[in-house]
Amino acid sequence: MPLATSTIKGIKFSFFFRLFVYVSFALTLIVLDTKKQAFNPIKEKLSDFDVLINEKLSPIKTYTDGLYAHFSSKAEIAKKHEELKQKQLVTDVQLQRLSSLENRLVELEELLNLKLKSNSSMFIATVIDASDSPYEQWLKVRFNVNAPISAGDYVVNGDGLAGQILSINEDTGLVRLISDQRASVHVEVLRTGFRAVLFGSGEYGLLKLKFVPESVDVKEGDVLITSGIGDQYPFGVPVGKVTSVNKEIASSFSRIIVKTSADPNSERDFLILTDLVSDDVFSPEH
Amino acid sequence: MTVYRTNITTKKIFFSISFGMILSIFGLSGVSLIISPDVLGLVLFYWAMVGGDARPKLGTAFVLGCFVDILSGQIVGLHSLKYLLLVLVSMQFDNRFRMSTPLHKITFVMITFFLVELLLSGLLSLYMSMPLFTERLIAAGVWGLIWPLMGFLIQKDYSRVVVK
Repeated sequence: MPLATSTIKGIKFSFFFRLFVYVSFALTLIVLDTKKQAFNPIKEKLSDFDVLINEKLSPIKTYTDGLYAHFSSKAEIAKKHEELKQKQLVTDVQLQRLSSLENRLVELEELLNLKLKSNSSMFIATVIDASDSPYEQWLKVRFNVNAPISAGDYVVNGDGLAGQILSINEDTGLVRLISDQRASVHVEVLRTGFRAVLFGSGEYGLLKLKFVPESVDVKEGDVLITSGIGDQYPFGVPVGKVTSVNKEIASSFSRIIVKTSADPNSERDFLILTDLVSDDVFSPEH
Repeated sequence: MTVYRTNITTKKIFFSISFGMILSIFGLSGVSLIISPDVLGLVLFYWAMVGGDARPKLGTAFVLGCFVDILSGQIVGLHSLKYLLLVLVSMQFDNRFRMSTPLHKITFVMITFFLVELLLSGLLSLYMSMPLFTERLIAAGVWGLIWPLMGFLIQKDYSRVVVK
């Protein structure tokens, strides 16, 4: 219908005319702003207003920033705590290793002191194996292949006698500990000079002084040293200390228990004596 | 039979446009101004496409554009021109747009915004010797991807009409 068509055309013309006007106006504004800076005063005033708004809102912003920092810092602290725990674990393990290395160092220093004081031959030996069986007490040690070590040589540490070489194989040797039940050592009571034979009890660190008559003067605390009988073995190496003296039932002998001076189960390095030891190598107070 | 109906009210249009204007003026936190979306432009284009009789008019688009330019400290008239072009596009394609698939709608929006941004940036670059930011052109197109989200947020209405 002509009326409807002209109305539609009229509406469209009106739209495009208005669009043209607005677009022209917008382009004019753009030119005015870029070439003439006509709107700068208004923009400056509005930027002040913008700053004012930001200043008023800044406490809220500070509060929200603080909240965020609080929660994120908590999470960070928890994370750092975990990391530190891990590091602490590693440090603890390292410290344990260090302390065992320190102990070893002290042992080696003692052995070195011993070696320096002695006129005789001493050769260092390091433990490479130990007995697992409760009925046998031995250590396997390694030493310098050129060392003139032979079966029967005494094995000592800074505290006293630990054992005796049983057999040799190139640079290793089997050491029977003095507390082994098959071991025996000729000893002398330091205080009185009384000589006897000390036997291993089969228990770690304990020895028995057998066949000592009740009348013999042996007390608790007496130090026993090697007697050097036959000049085959060194004299004066501390062996142990008497811990108890009891009368045996149905026997005329005393039951004397001796604790070893050396503790071979807790050390790794020993010295092997290949010659007679001088008198002042071991302190009598050991 | 139950029919879902959407309720377009001037109040809804007013609030969505106000929200869009605030975001356009102050920008999104953490997003560079160069690639920041023109939220008001998207809202305006949305209502121009689906508003029907309640769609924003040329005058409204012009005034809103001026507001955004002045309040955000940009070149006055630039956003006005942009919104006028968006209203023009909506007048030509609104019927076909309403009947097309969501994927076509998103593609159309992305291309429209990209071309409008290209036109304006080219105009400024040629006549005002201003640099052309390619990131802005790409961002203008990419922000069209939030079109379905806008439809969900703006026009979500749980009212139901039961037709017997």
